[in-house]
Amino acid sequence: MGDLPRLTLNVLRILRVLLENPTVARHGLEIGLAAGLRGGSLYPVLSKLEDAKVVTSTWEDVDPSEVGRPRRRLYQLNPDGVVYARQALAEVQQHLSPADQHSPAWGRTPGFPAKGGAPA
Amino acid sequence: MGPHPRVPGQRGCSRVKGWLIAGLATLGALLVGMVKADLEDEKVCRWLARTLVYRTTRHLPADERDRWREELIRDLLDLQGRVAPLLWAFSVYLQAGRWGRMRGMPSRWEVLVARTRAAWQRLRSLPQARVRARAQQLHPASIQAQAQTAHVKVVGFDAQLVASGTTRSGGSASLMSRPGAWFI
Repeated sequence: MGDLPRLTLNVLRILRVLLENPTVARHGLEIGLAAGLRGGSLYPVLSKLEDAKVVTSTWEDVDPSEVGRPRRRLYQLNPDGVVYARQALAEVQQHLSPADQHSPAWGRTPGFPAKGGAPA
Repeated sequence: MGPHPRVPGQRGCSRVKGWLIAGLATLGALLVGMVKADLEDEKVCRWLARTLVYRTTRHLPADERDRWREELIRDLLDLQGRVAPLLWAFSVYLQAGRWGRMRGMPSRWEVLVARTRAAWQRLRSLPQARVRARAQQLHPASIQAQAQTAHVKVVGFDAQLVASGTTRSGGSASLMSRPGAWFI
């Protein structure tokens, strides 16, 4: 893989959508709608992921004159990309998990119980 | 100093202001009506969206433009309605500069600065170019070349005079008054 992009919210959203079914290639609009992103946020991230070789893109293998519509550009996570996406999402999930699992003393008022836990 | 006193008049200012406001309001209403009518037409919206896509791809490197243009226009076709494709294209267009910079293209500001700098350098080199041209003109080698050319002309003219029967002294006398004749 090349230079990996920063793990922004938009990158994570796209990775999550692509990771739902890594074997299926999806086109840009479909990914954008599933991730809740507008075009302006979607395509730059897709191009960045493609540069980093996390995602591969190919033109749809159809004849436009036969199907009566232009071909689509399809995106799919490659094997390394699947590993990277899983790691990235797991890492973020770990960071976003409740504070009492990792840093019990941080961000909690002394003497007050943690959420769902016993009093400290 | 205090405020200026009001100039007395027969409601002249307020009347002009009223006409101005009415005129601007009418113009605004006409423009809004025209834009609204245009945006209600799906063909116009589609055309506008495509134009925005074309303008977006101009920010990208030349070798990637066709690919992104085709992809973006294809995705626009999937969006139904009038406003959705327009908004989609507009959101892409808004991020075009950032996207282009990400793909290694210079920003508009960098292009403007580079062009201004080049124009300024050209402007500054104008007097130097003039001085260089003048120095070249006054160079001894160029003066020598000019003198040789003049000599050839004068010799030719002298030969013509001799051939036409005019006295040598008279011819020479007339030649002495010509520039470059001292060279003989």
